[in-house]
Amino acid sequence: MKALSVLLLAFTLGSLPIHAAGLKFSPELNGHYRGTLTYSSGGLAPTGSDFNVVVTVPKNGRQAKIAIDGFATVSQGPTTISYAFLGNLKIAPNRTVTADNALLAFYFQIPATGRALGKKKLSYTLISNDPTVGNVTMTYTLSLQGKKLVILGSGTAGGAPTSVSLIAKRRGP
Amino acid sequence: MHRFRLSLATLFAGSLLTFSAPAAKLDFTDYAGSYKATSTVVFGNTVLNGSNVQFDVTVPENGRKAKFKIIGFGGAASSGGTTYTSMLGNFTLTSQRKIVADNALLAFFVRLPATGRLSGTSNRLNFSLAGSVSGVGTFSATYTLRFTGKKIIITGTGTALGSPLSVQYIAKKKHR
Repeated sequence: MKALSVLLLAFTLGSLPIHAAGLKFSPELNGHYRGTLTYSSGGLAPTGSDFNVVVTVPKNGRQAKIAIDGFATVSQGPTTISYAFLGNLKIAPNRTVTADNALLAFYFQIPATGRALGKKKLSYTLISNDPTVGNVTMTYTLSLQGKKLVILGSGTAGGAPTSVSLIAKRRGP
Repeated sequence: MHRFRLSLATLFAGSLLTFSAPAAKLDFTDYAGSYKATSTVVFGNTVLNGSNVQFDVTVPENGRKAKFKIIGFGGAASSGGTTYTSMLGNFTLTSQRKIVADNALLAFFVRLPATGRLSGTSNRLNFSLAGSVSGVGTFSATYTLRFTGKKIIITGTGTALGSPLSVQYIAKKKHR
């Protein structure tokens, strides 16, 4: 009888889905970063070299918030326009990624959610069906270590191959 | 001799009066802080409403500059519902009564650099800004900025791409 209950317990434990470990961020990542945002989509390549990135991690390290702002310049024939690109990203301890922009940062909001995989280098996919852009599917890798923040994304936006990169360095100590 | 002295004094007083008094230098010390703002930008048929706009004002210790940073999203009705466009702007007010702005609309999703001069007192300033995007058009507005200690209220009227423009920000200081 005892052997049966041990076997049953082992079987139950074995059949339980194994959850990915929760995430924890170092509060030392808190701070202001500055860097370059580069886009490529549908023949346009808006680029901005003076982007601000604010990383906020609470003392318990249970989530990370990343706020991105800056101007990216696009040249269309003789016209050069600087667009204000904004984006906010939150990574919860249960690995849920909530973004107000599936394109990382853009001049209008495209809300999306995803799930982060990995430990030091996180990867996640954001999917949105935006009435203005159309279907957006972007897969990102996020690396936030030491003084460097790197977010690289690739996928499609409105049917066009799209890539985005944000490389930022921490300002100050 | 007494009459001469009197006329000299009168002349001195007269010359003091005829000199135009230089405009008082501005002090922005009390502006410093973080604010949460609501915004309304209207031009043509477009109405952009922002309800959670971040308003950060940085002032050095001597109070001679105020650097404003506005970040937020403005919602506009569109065929697919509401589209939230980014609103980003930086501008600096100086004690020498200058304003340097990267946006003639203070904050918008397109950058429109502009400069202007301030008139009025530290608590109530007037200024005009004009900017253009080549191939797109011009934007110009006249603003009044009021500072009450806990609130910054900016109202402006002008033209944007040939249409009447109105801008309003009501920013309340966050409690620390």
